Amino acid sequence: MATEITMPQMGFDMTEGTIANWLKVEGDMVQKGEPIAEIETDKTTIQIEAFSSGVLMQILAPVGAKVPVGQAIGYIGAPGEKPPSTAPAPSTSTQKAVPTSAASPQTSAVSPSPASTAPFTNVSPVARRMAEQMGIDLAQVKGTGANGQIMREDVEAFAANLPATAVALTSGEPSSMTPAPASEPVAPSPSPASVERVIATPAAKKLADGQNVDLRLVKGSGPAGRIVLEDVANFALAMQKQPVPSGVAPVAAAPAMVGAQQPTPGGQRKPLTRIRQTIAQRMTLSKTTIPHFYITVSVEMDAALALREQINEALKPENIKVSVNDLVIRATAMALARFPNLNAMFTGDAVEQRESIHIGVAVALPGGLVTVTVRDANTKTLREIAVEMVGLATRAREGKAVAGDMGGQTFTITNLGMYGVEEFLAIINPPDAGILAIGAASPTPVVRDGKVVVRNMMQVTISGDHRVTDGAEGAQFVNEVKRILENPWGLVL
Amino acid sequence: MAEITFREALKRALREELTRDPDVVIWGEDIVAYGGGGAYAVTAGLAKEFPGRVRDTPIAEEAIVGVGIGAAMGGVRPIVELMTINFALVAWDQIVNHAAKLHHMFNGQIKVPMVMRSPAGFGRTAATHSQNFDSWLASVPGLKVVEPATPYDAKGLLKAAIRDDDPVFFIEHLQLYGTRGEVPDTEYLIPLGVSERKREGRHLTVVTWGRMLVETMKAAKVLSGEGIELDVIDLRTLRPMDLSLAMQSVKRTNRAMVVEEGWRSMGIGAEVAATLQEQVFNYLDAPIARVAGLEVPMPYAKNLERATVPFSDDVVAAARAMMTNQY
Repeated sequence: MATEITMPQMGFDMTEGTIANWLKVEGDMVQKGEPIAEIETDKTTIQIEAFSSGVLMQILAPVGAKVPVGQAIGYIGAPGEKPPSTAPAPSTSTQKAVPTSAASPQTSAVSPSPASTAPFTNVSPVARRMAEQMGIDLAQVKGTGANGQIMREDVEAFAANLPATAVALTSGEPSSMTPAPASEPVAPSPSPASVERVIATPAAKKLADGQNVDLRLVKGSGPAGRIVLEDVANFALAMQKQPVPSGVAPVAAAPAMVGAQQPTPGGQRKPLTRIRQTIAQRMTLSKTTIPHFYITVSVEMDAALALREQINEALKPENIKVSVNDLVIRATAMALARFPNLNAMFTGDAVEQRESIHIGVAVALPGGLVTVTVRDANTKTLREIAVEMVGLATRAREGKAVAGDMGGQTFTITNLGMYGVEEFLAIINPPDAGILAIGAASPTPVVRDGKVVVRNMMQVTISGDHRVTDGAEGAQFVNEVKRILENPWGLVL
Repeated sequence: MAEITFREALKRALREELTRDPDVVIWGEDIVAYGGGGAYAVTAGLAKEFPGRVRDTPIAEEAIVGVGIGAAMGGVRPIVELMTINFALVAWDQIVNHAAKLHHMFNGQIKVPMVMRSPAGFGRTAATHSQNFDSWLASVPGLKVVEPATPYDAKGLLKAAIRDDDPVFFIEHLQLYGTRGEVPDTEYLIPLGVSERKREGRHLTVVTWGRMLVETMKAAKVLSGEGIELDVIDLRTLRPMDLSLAMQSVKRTNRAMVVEEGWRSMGIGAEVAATLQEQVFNYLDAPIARVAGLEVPMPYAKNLERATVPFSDDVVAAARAMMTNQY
């Protein structure tokens, strides 16, 4: 009698698990209690053991498949026994087990895309990696190796016949940035031929991973240009001295537009500085992969400005000055506490709400900008925020940012009020779900109680990630920011 | 603590164990008659101190090891001496097919608590008498293989080997007999299968044993003057091999080198390198380097002999190359 192997429930909140690895193949003898497969949950990877002894007759869920708790992933039976006829065929089970919606691509680094996983075990490791990098569905690739094994050349040949836009290089980018499904045009992508292996030592790769350094930007000092630990360490140090927006991964420069290499006659070609490379890449990534929407509200700032004056009067002896932007930081943090869905990131198959509220604040530099981070802004007083911002901005401008000054933000604010800008639209700073663009608080005629009066109005515009949130929620959120700023005592109480 | 020679440390170990346990005996070629104490005088005088328990054998290595195995099976704890490791070739069947297997083929009913002592290495003894079979021996399941580098370790490891219930092949490098080191008068044992950090450094992990430990320590001094600090791990036992310290070390230094005197191909160095890359791959910042002997039959001429096996300058050169990213 065949025994079902079912997806175990590890912890009360586990609803499904991913098959990370089968430790046995069909036909293997297994002993009761012997590990037969590895299951990956949100939290951990665990081994599951055979519930009974016998032969592993059938594997229903291939590596990479997501299977609901309790569903059969395979059968153990007596030697020679046939699997139960009710058992779903492997292919249907695969379909069921993995998300089928083309609109929700698998993006988690640990669960390979459905296309490249599943029944295709007869694939060389190099070919599999290339296929994953290029987003190629291995089902469509014909193998020419031994027993039809799909080899590197097969993937290359397949890629060469694809339209350039259908192939995207995804490695090295944050998971939330994984390009849309292959059927849609994505960011300018390198042709398959340019998929280049970065030669780096294992230790260098590990450090680069930890420091979010893109090895493609690092110059190797080892034999044949091999990147060694020291190169990555030096690069990371240099990045600290010359910070990049949000302090997150300096990613490879966006591929240049066609013809852009040719300087116009009489023009001047300025190679990109590292900071510009990073801005170019991150902003391209954001604008091409995040569906932005925008909502603007007008905030009457008179009460807030009056309160600010009083606060600054009181803080004068301490030489502390609270800026309008500090008020906005605090108001945004308070509002986010009530809208946790916007304090989140898109991870491909989920929206991950962040535990803390860290507000990124864009700071302009000559030749670029960086984002400094006010951590746990919702728990800080205006005085604390004011003092911290002065330090953060000063260090950023002087190129002396220290660890923790940048990166890790969960939401970002950009303010062009000091340039007299009334209103503008900002590009989301990945992996945030939104960004607030703050204009100047300027005297504006408005209607109050049927009369035209002059008030200091400030335009606040949210850019929202439409994958995470919608217009209605975005509107409620900016209105909450508005409410807090228009009733400013809430900021200090 | 007194400084004594490696040779003397071994002799003290033998003497202490002969004294402690009446079942311990020593058999070998010329260990009594010839100048009184074997070709390298390790057993000198012991025959007189322990009449009847230290005996000369015929020149028949297969018989020496075979008799040792039989005696060990019957409850004796023999130490058999092979005049050089090159003669172990004649006894290979006894060592590999009998000593190493009996316990396992008879369901653990039999034990072979025997020590095979043998000098190895070189010393103007030409091709057939200048060999290291470290990796040959260390690849045999059922054997334990020990090769000390210092007088202190030699004494503690030999005593532990004699007390071990498995057959132990105890390799003594010819060039070490005359080296000196501190050895306490009090009794101590060094467990088999445990490596030791002989020098602490942060730049490069060097895994070695035997004579090459001595050369590596010399190299470490030179390199230290250049700002390169070697972390030196002495394996001490080749089977079972303890690489735990080496792995920890690589996690700090990110670079590893194995230094061995024997032939490079299929050597202990290959084994160490393979295991390290399996276990600590993500910590490596360079390929694991191997410094090893040239793969030629050893020449007799002194200058050629010197050129065939590694010395401290080879370790220095390899370490420099590694630390300047040229490897």
